[in-house]
Amino acid sequence: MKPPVNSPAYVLAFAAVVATAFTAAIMTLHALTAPAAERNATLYEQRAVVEVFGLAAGRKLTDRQVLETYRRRIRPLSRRLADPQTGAVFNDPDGASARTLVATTAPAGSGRAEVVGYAFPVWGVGFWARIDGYLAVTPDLRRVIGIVFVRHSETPGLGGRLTEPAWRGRFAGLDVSAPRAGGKYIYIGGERPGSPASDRHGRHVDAITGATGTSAAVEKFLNERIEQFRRAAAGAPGALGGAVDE
Amino acid sequence: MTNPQQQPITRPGRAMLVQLWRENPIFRQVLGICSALAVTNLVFNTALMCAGLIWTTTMSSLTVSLMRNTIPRRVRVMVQVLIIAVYVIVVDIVFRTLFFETHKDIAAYVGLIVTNCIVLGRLEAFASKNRPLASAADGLGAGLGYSLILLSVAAVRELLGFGTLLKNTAWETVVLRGWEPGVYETWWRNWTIMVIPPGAFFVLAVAVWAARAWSLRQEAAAAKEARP
Repeated sequence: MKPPVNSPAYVLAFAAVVATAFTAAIMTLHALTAPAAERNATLYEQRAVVEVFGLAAGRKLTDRQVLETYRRRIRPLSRRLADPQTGAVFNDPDGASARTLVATTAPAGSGRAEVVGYAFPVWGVGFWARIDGYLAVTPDLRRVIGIVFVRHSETPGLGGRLTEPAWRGRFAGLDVSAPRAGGKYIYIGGERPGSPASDRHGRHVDAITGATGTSAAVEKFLNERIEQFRRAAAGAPGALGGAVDE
Repeated sequence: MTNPQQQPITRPGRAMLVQLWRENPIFRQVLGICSALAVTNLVFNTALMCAGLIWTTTMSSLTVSLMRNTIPRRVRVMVQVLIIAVYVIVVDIVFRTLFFETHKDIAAYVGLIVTNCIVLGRLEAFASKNRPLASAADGLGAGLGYSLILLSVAAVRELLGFGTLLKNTAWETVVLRGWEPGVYETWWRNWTIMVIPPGAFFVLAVAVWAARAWSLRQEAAAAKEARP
């Protein structure tokens, strides 16, 4: 006998059973893959940090090497950095996990660990949505070691090229010491510095072709974050003391 | 005399071939081209998107066909969308687990497979009335037909837009090294328009035109042969 497929009771019961069964199946699959997804997310973030400090030396590290390098050489800054004037905590933008990280030459606690640099979260609104990344600077806070973007929604192939090593690589070695009055820490796009006397000298990177909006947005938030980081670091003497504070 | 095109298609192989070419969802039915515009600037991203769509059309057609006698007519579209959504979420979870970095780029479009007209179209037009095997083959054919055109479009867009093929994979090949001021000076300039969605309009239009022209000519020749 065919089921009475159009009676209201059947329709209700059918909807309930189908929805429950399919939802249960999806939830099971989700639960089974959750650890792998979490591992991927952690690995992705740690790979970005290892890369921003230049610890991979241009090589593509295996997953294990990334986890091992991160575990041995990267740790969060033990002090919270706050702006001396506003009191705003710098290295905790969302009250979440984005923090200032310290990279060392050797594992912490081995006695001879020297600081390679500091990486702090940089974030801001891009052309479409928020961009998140890290900027790594030398221990004296004067030079860029590297930059990496871990989350963005820029147009693939245009603004999205901000993740490409070819563009990011141009930031290495940029001057981020205090600029002259009215100047910026970093210039993206616009005219190239003509002479060493220019405000832009040692601080300029070409914009991404076809992505003026993204380039301008990155320039804006990078300058804001660098300024905030430097103010917070200056307001917490000893927090970034060159040697690692255990 | 009956027109062969109006006979019900019940053999799986035939159902698949019809969707793959004669009733190709992209160039004959012009369905599901929204995703064609967005994700086709890189071949690898497109291949993943196509795999997701093939899986979704095949499995949802199979499921709907298996359930076709129990689904109440009044709520059938809701049930079909639920089934599609389930398979799309499976795709999303699998991509997130296996291709984490590409997933970050195409996640939004994978979610949109739920609303892809091809999938719901095949469920309504075929799977809800036919046997499971033929329905699965019909869904597979529609997915392959979509992929055939999309991958061709993607190859052209990636080549002209980036100068590469299979960028961001282990098989990346630089075919045309793009001009970059101060870095690499050559005659070739990458076409920005191929990278952005409007580029897909042009390439897709040419692909649809070429495929239609060819298949229409073949049909005309076949008709001429049938009526000497």
